[in-house]
Amino acid sequence: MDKNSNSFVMSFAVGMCIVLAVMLAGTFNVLKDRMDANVAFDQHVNVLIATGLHSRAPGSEPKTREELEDLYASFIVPQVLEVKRGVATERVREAGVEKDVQVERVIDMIETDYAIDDLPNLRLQERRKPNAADRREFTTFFTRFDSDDPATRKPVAYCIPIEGLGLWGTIYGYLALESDLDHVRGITFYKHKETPGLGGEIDAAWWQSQWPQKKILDDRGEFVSVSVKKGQVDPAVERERLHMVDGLSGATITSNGVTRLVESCLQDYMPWFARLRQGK
Amino acid sequence: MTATTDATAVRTASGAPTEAPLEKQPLLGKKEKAAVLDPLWDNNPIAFQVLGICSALAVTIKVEQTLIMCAAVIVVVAMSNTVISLLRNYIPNKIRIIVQLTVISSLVTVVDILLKAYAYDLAKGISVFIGLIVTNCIVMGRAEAFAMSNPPFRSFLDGLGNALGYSWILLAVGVFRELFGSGSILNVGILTPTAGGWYVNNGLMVLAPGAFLLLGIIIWVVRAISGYTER
Amino acid sequence: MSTSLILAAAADANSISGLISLAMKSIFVENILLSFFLGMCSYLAVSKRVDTAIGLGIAVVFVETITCPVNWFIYNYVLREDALTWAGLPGTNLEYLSLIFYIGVIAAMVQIVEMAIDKYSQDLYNSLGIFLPLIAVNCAILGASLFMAERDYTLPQAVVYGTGSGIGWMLAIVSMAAIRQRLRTAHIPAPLRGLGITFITTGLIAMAFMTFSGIQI
Repeated sequence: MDKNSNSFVMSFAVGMCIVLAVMLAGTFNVLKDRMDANVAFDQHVNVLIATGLHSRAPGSEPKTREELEDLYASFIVPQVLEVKRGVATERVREAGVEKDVQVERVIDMIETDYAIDDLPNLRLQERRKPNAADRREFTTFFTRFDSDDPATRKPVAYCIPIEGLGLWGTIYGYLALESDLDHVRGITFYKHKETPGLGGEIDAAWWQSQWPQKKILDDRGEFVSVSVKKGQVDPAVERERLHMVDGLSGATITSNGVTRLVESCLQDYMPWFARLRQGK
Repeated sequence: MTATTDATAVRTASGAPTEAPLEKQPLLGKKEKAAVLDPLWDNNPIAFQVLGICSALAVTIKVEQTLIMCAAVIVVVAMSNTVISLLRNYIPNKIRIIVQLTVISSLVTVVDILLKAYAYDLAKGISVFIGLIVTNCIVMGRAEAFAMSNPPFRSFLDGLGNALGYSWILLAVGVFRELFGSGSILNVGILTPTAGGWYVNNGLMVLAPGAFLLLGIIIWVVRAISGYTER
Repeated sequence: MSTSLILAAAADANSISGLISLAMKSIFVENILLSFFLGMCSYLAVSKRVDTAIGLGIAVVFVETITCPVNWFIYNYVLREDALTWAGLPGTNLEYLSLIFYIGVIAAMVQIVEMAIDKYSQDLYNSLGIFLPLIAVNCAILGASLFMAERDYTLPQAVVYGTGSGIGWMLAIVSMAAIRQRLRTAHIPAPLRGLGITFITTGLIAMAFMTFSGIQI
């Protein structure tokens, strides 16, 4: 058979595409559940880390996968919240003059009964709605309790997902606040593309250990967030001691990205935090 | 004709014939041995053939990542060489480059999926670079220069040898970069930079220029020992 | 959650100043060769003479400017989760096929560009033609497409990023070729000649390019 005839070339190409496509689709679908389980477990572990139930720092005790899943099931209650966006008026100071500006942002978050595992399907359904105005938006929220007894337990920490652009791509993580919704309890990142050794140090225990006990509110109760300083925090300056952490040297864009994503994600949850405070 | 140009360019770049396993014609056993051993030193893909440098540098900041990358490259090169060699008599010449690329990228995708399913924690940091193995010239270079004209088993060994030759240089760079850049090896503190140690981390090592300088020096040493000189 | 942030960033990034900033970033600050090590093989092989370096550089810019937006369409209308809704197939996720698609597009584009140049400009073909096949295996091109998908660029951004990183690569290879032409007459220790000194020089160029990294445009 002529190896260079057009018909052979075409049928070879088509045949190979079919074989390879079947092989890839097969591998992907066989292992999809496993991959998804890994992703879910990774997120559970990170919620545990952010809320202080587990640590990856050197010297901390290792836990098995079962132990971790058990901890998560006993102490963490995940919730799905519906996000309402709208236009809010905000006072800003520009060139010394205070004025009102209209900004588009999250104006409310409402509790729902959906389970967190339904979220992918839920989001898919919303995306399929033809009318953009009808689409609902959902997010997650985690409460960490002090015991596993549903009758008497009290929340000790709250955890929100955070995400935003770093240097090479989106950074995903969790930020946990103490039950006063002001002090940070912990931060962790589970997926990012930052340069290993530079921006990638956002994963490092020494860097994340600066976050606990920073305040997201100022002394008047206004939201100021926690930012990553370029350079080292000066403990003598109160604003820096309370609201800033050390920057990562050689990773200014990652540092700025973390500052922005922490601020915007916390800002989004402000209406929900207000509800939580009122509920108490 | 694509990779013929590629191979010529590579050969002129290193200034020496790089297809030594092809030209030697002794006993069969020797040939197979040469396919594995040659690329480890005498004909190292990085030091002499100038192949596959792209991903060599980006993942060498930590030894752990380097090891995963090496394992992935070894699997992909060995497998792609075997598959291409099995198909070598059927692949139409006109579309052979794209056939090779398709086979390679499928293998890379499979490796990526496997890593995500079985070694999630280790794989999640270097997923993009796993994808870039597709254009790692070692894979294409060996497929075109060796697998297209040799039987499957020998091609498999050639892939293995080349990937191993690539791996040890990568690991050498990785060990130096992690040791001097982060003061540790495999995340175990050796020079204990923070806890009252005497060593201050060399920030240059984790940056791109550090990798270039180190690789330059390693190539210098390898070539000084083997006495090879480029014109 | 921070979709608001990302949307705002996208709106901002599509403005002229946002695009100029992206172009500057991809050419200097995040030079695809000097900070990502992509496209090293042909960089090392073809940086011996300035004129050939310019030829290959132009070819890379050309191909990257085309493949980046083409792969953008493929990613957003075929591969992405739910991307096939327009074809009446919602709920698909073909992202695991992205490598094959990208590399296929790149190889096909290289062929088409080669044929087009051959047909319409023999001069250009003579000076550029031999480099075109080298490009299919140039990881800078595949890398640009992967990063484009990874960072969720919009179409104008994809065009600018493709051109920008191509120009950045060209800049690196042309400057390297100029240096290597001079190095030929320098007294370099014998084993260091060629590849070794090229790497060390590249390290120094990369260091120089790092000084751009603080720039905000």
